[in-house]
Amino acid sequence: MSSTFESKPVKLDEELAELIAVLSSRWRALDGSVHFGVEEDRLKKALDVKSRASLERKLEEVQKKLLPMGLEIVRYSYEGKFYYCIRTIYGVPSELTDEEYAVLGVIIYHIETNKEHDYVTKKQLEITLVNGNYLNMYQFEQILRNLEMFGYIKRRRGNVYYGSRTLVEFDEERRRAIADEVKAWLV
Amino acid sequence: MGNGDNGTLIEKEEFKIIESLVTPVPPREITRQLWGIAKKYETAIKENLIISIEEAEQDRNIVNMLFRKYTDLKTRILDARILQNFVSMQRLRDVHVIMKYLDKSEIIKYIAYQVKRRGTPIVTFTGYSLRSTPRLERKLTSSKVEPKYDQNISIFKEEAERTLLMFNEEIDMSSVDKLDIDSLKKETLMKLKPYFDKPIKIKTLSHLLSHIQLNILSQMIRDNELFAYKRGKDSIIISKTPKYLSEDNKYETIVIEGAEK
Repeated sequence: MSSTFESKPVKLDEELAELIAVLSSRWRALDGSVHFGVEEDRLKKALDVKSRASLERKLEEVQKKLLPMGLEIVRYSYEGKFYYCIRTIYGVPSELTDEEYAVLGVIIYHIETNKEHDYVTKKQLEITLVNGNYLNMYQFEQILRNLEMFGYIKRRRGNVYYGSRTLVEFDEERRRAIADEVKAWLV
Repeated sequence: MGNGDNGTLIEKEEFKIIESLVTPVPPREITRQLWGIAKKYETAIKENLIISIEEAEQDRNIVNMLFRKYTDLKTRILDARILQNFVSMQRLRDVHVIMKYLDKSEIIKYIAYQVKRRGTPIVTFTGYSLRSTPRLERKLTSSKVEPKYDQNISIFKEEAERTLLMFNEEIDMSSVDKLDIDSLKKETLMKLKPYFDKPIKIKTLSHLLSHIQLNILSQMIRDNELFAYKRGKDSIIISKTPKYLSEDNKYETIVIEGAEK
């Protein structure tokens, strides 16, 4: 015998539901990089708004509904384009393993302390982590691959850059704090 | 000295005048000294260099001494900056000590925790699922990351044990029975014999006796087998009888480091 729940009819705000769905999506671009949320121009077109101000007024309404859930809407730029996505307000664990988090920390440390470039070479990371006996070469390669797949880093010509996800999840102040911690522990 | 608010004001002014008469330090000199200390610590922290506790204490004394002479806000801000540097240096020192007894996998875990707690992850409900795509899942399971310490855990453990043993040797953990203590007491008394009832410099005592003998001396004083009186800043009198004891005596603990024997 089966039973059904009879709930009161709820008026669904379709626009709000669709916006939350699209803001919480993730997808892969043609070059293989992972993106989160939705591109600004596409959102403007879908909502039929012309200016950023009117778009943000609409998003403020969504933001009000999301805040009690500990979520917020953020706007970020990556490689010349602007995106909107949803992130948590509080620090909670993401889908990375401890080793992956630690390697991300080391990458942040190297990039934050490098005043000339916005990247770290793979060789530098290898010297720190593999030659320093923290990981073996196989682990190191695998972790870099995973971090790239999750959108935390981007690799080009043997250099490792921040991915959009690192920039959104760790703001500048936090990245500096992480760099300080890693510096103290990684001798 | 007056009464009430005026009185307090006058008292403060007098205090300032006396201070500057005793040790006049020009404001520029205060700033110069403070800058010197601040820069020294900031450079050391940047380069991960440890400044010894002894040196740090000397610097702290200088800052404490100069603190009474601070007049302007700028110097006070500089003082706060130096105190922050002292704290950072202490932390760096602690980490260096702890790191000797941690294996690499624990360090990785600690760094991971530091990164994890600072992240505010992006939330995704829909779209490209990273972990559950069949193709990627296959790739992940076929090349799953195993922690390194699984393979070499015995080596790490051996290393840790070796370090611990070295640590034990350094602080000399050998046990001492009663006979040993008696002979040590005799030895200590023999060495101290020429110095009974005479003022002896604390430094001389530290050269004369080893760590263990100083420990025994400390126990004998505690058990009233010997009596020690502090005389002046850096000398004491050791006696077999409590002849210098009076009601005005204040008790004070003196830490003496023994000669390495």
